[in-house]
Amino acid sequence: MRRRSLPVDGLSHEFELDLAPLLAVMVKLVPVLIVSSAFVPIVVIQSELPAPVAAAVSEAKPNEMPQLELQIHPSRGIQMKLSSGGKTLSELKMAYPQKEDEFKTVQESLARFKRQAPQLFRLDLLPQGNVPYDTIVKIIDAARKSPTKNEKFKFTNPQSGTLEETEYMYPDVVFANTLEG
Amino acid sequence: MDRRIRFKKKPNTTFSLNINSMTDMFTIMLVFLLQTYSTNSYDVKPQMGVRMPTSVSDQQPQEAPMVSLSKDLLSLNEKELLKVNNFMVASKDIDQGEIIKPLLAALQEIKKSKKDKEEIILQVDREAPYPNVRQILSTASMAGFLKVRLATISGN
Repeated sequence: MRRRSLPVDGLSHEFELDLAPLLAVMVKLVPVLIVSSAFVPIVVIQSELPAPVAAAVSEAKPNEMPQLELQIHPSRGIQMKLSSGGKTLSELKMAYPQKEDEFKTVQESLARFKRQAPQLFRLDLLPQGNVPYDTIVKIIDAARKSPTKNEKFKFTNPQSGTLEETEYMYPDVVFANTLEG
Repeated sequence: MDRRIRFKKKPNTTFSLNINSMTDMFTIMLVFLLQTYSTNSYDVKPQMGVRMPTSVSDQQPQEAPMVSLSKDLLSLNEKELLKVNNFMVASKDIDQGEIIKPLLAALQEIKKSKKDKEEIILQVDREAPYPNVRQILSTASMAGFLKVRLATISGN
């Protein structure tokens, strides 16, 4: 038997949503957020590190550890030198980086030095001539972490004596030529 | 003559205001502002005339004395300290080759009240040549501020 569907009266699909309270909240929120927003997000480059890396950095004794120097000059380019006890272990010269991919090459070269001395976290930076501040920041950026996310460097945690892995290369950058006069 | 009584229609005093588009606009603004909202307790204010370099660092700044260097001004904690000429400090303000005398005095004054603090924030224009930055670094280390935080714009 066929059933007839009866039309239901009084069920209107149109309704009015009162948006006034929502708007009132928004009007109050917007000025608060405008005042507290940081439209230019400023960050700092510093050497606060995860605990094991920080311990390795602080435990590293300059006389016992190898030393990595990075000299940068606008016309002479970059010179990296890994030495230990006054003896040069390896050296590398590169052209002065200007483009983004050239800084990537610097990062890869630093990773090569890191593989040679994984316990070393300090980089002695020696900018020379009129190197712009921007280039220095880019070099520090490049030196900080491994060029690839997959590559991690093994080092011995001086506190526990266990082997740890880190993506950090040279987070402890020192401007070695300040106060030279 | 047939006179008809004309009823004047009363003007409707209530009207509905369509606020949908306004709500849309506020929603977009709210989302944008929530994204840029800073929860950090200390914000570094960019100084006039300083175009900072970008970096991939994600570390938030902590409160510390801030030295800014633009093409024509050296300032400490947002207060003008010295006029400079194309990042260069006048030779009369330089001592021992690279110590900026007014900056050293101001930093030593700060150091007196904050003896345990060793950090300064450096906000330098991206084009500043290193010898001028080195003068600030040397002056800061002379005053006892050994850790330098380089303020940059987040490039992430």
